[in-house]
Amino acid sequence: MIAFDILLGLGMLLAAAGVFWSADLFRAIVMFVVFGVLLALAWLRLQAPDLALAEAAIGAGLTGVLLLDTLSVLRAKKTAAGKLPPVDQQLLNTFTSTRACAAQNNHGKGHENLRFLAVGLLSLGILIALQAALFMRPEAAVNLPSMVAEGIPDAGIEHPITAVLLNFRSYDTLLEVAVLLVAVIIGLSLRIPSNSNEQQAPSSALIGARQAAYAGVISEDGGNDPILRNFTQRLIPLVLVTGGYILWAGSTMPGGAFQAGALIAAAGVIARLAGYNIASRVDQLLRFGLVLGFLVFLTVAASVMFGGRPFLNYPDGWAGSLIFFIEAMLTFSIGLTLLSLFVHSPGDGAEPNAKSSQRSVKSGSTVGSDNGVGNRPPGNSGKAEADHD
Amino acid sequence: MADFLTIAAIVLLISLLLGLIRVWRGPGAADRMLAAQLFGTTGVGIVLLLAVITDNGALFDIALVLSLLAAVAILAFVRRLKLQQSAADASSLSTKNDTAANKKEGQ
Repeated sequence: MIAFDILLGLGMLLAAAGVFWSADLFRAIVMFVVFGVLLALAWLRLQAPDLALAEAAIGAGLTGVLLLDTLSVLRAKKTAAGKLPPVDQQLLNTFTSTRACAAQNNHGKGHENLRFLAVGLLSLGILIALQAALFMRPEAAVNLPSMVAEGIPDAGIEHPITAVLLNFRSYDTLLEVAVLLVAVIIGLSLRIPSNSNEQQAPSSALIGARQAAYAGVISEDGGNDPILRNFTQRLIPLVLVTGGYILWAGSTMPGGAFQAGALIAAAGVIARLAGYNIASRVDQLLRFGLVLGFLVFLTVAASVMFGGRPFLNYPDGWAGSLIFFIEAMLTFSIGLTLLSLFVHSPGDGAEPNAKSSQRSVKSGSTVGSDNGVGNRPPGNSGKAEADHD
Repeated sequence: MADFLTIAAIVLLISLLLGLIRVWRGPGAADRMLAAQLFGTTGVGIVLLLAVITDNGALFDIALVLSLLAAVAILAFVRRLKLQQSAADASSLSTKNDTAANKKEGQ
């Protein structure tokens, strides 16, 4: 098994190096997804199946989708480079042409090497310090695992990780959920300006394509592709059922609200990618659904104080059912949070844009959409396509 | 038996490391994405082997989640990047530049 561990560590180092060394963003994203799978395996070998489950659901699944989405937005923006505000332009340049810049600055080579040396030495120093800290660590004053093992019979839940997260240290989890809520509110408020810009843009073709895409339950594109339709029709129910199972399993083995929420979100993302019109329904549910988990958690936490108990101290005998109730609501809210970050990201708007430009190409006319794929300046095209494969 | 399964897991891991080469060298986006799919499938195989080797039934759930979500990335790839790229390719400009850039990028 030691050979397996060494190979796994080697593979993780290679994948991590690949993420950072790749100038092509798409390759870096694929490397990152691959790294996620290897990391899940590493957590397994370190006997942390809960972390492996979370990594498999979020790292290998959802993060890759969000990054691919971001890349498609960056590319769409880049092809419309002339219309970008200077700050965005600068950002794009730093993202996409670092290698080209490095090649141009040949006289700065020595400077570059010096910088590599300094960073390398610094990293080595940090590595040695970490190793030293690991080997010279003091004996733990409190043996937490044994304390958890002692408390399990009163926790109302069998799995130690879930017991810690939702009973012994439920304060942390409550604040974590609050942080997630704040994050998604900020994410949603950031999307508003770009949305109104798009509405101001006087491109009837774009609006027409959007309406066409949002009109039916399923857009024409997704409806016509038999592979996509059959695949998603079978996949989505499976993902949803597995999400429910993972939530249920959380009381006795690895699982719980966060992993189940990630699966629910994944089902929504699949539906969205396949062209099912879930955006409008999500919008109606959104404000209520996002806060539901936090509200239920806070209500349960505070209402026990009426019985004279301290904040977040579950009544005897009720802990198990209360924890499961909170977890079920949290699953819903977390799933919706992750999904809304995807649905309301700029990339989701980019899809109808791409369709509209495809259509404009077919009809032979150019559209003044903010995507601008159809009317790229020819001189810029070689550089703009440098990271297209 | 456990020895045999361990060797099988190591062989699968080696095939993943070889997959890393395909992710790095490409040359096409689809080659890289399919190599990532190899990681999903083979990862499921390795998790299942580890579950049997360590006799830990909880690991089957991880294999289940991994197998379901490995498909999401390729869906996003096909639906978002490919749609956009085909739109870009169809725009008649710079088709030659594209292939030239690809060759450069493949090195």
